Amino acid sequence: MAHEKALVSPREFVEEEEPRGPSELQLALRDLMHRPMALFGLICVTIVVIWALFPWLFAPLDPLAQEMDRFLKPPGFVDPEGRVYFLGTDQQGRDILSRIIWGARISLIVGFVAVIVSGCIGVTLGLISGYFGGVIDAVISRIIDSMLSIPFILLAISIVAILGPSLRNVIIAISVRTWIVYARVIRGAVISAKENEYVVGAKAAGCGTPRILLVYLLPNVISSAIVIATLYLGRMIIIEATFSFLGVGVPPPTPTWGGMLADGREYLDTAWWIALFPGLVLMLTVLGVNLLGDWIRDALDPKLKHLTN
Amino acid sequence: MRAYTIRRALQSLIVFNVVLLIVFLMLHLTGDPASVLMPEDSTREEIAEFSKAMGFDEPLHIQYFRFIFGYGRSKGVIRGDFGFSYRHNLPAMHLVLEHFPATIQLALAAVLISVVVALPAGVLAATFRNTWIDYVSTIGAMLGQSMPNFWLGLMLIMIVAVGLDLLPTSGYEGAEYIILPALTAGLYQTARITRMVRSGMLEVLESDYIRTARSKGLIERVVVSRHALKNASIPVVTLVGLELGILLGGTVVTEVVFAWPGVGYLVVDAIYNHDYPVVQAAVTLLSCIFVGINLGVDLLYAWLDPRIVYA
Repeated sequence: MAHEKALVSPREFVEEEEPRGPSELQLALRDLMHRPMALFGLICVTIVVIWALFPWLFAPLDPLAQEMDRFLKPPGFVDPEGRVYFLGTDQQGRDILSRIIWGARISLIVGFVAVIVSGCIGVTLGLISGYFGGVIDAVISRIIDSMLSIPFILLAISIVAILGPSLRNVIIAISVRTWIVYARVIRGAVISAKENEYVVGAKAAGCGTPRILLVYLLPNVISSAIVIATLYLGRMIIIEATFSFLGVGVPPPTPTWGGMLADGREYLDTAWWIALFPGLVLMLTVLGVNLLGDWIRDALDPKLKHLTN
Repeated sequence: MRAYTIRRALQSLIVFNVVLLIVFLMLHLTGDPASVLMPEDSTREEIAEFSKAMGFDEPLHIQYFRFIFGYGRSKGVIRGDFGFSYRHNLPAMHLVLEHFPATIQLALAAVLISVVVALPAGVLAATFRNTWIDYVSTIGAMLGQSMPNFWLGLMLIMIVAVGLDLLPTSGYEGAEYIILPALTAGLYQTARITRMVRSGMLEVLESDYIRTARSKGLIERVVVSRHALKNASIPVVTLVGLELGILLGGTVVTEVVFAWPGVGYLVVDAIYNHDYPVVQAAVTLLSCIFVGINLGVDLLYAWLDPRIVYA
């Protein structure tokens, strides 16, 4: 009889004793409220994401409309029809503010897609390299070392220039190099995770390799990948701007922040506003992404701190 | 130690070979290297003729063999022959080497500035943790890591060179010409090193031997400068070495902004003009140096800390 008494399920037992606390999401949001930096980051990122999703709602004017009699006008300029150019106009008379708002699109598309594409490649190769070891690992590791030795920007701009400047090729050129960051971290994580009992047990129970990789190892290393993604998003955005600045990015007339800075470079002594505002927005966006990334890292995996420092 | 040295040297050799393979394949990305190399307005016949003359119709592995060991008049990459620059009509490697000193100067100046700024900033931030000094230094470092350096370059030109007329906007003539480019190129490194020194110092300041140093009555200044900084600076020294390697290939945009006649400036110009032998030579040289620096740092580290060899 004593045996039957012991068959109370542990779940029931816990629910009786402890009332349910706040969910993880609630805890995370509460934590966010106490971290002004992360909150600031969230606000910056939210604004830019909304700009990128619905630019026509926020841009006061057409970002492409050229008008030769209103070129290089300073911030606050009002034209005869009463339109206000809050941040001034560029050398072709286009409204800077509207171009900045539309420019958010390219920055965010390149940033997000490059981070996801390189993440998929890097996580896959990292899993394979770490799990199988041996020759496969040696080959992947030497490729990683080699890619690391090649100057990133030189390799990337050469690739875009050879393939031809376009949105797709910019993303390819960035991803060709960035996957190694994921691959290195995931490889290390897999090497230590594969010794765990549940993996050894799964193998003993006859699980196939794909199942072990996807069901048992991937969930354990995915938080590292998410952390890297948030930490690299800002860099991807800067690199996209660098491409456009050098003239190998998404071709004009599509507004890009880097392209606007290249325009502004020609007028540093006469029209300071062209180079000032897009750079300021670019910096605040990257700062926001980085601050948010720091917070996500601390929430998911504080051990990855060395990646940012 | 000897086995470790040989193993690391062999690894570096393999890495260098893979780099060469990547540099070779770069031109074949579109599958048609001839049209990549020829000017945009060339006719189909011209491209076909050029393709035949260059041997692009041969199988890829034969082309690679010729790229490495030479064929006809070319002596091959193994002897530093990357072919001629179409634009300057000079050997590509010769051109790259000619522009290399300017890049080294810029990279060294940038590293120097970043260490001079970052070391005190990081040490002060850690020593006066959670005071305004810490906040200024930390926020500054965060801004530095978020700011695209070419934008900083533009702002420096606008404010310091054009507005205040203190320094020249661009060029390569005297010592005053290097200040703005070095500040620009070293921005990210300054921010990175500041954060690293700060976190390293914070860790060290909490350790037992610092408590011992304090408890035997040493004044705080001596504790920080003699005991803490020395130990916190080991990882920083490695970082500075590696950053120098990264900077050699990372000053590209800065060189363009300030018309600094280094390798980066040369390469961007070569890319605009489809002058790819120059690009290949530059990428190979910079990668080779990076591999060398890495090897050097690793061996130095193993020599300083013998535990590494057995790890």
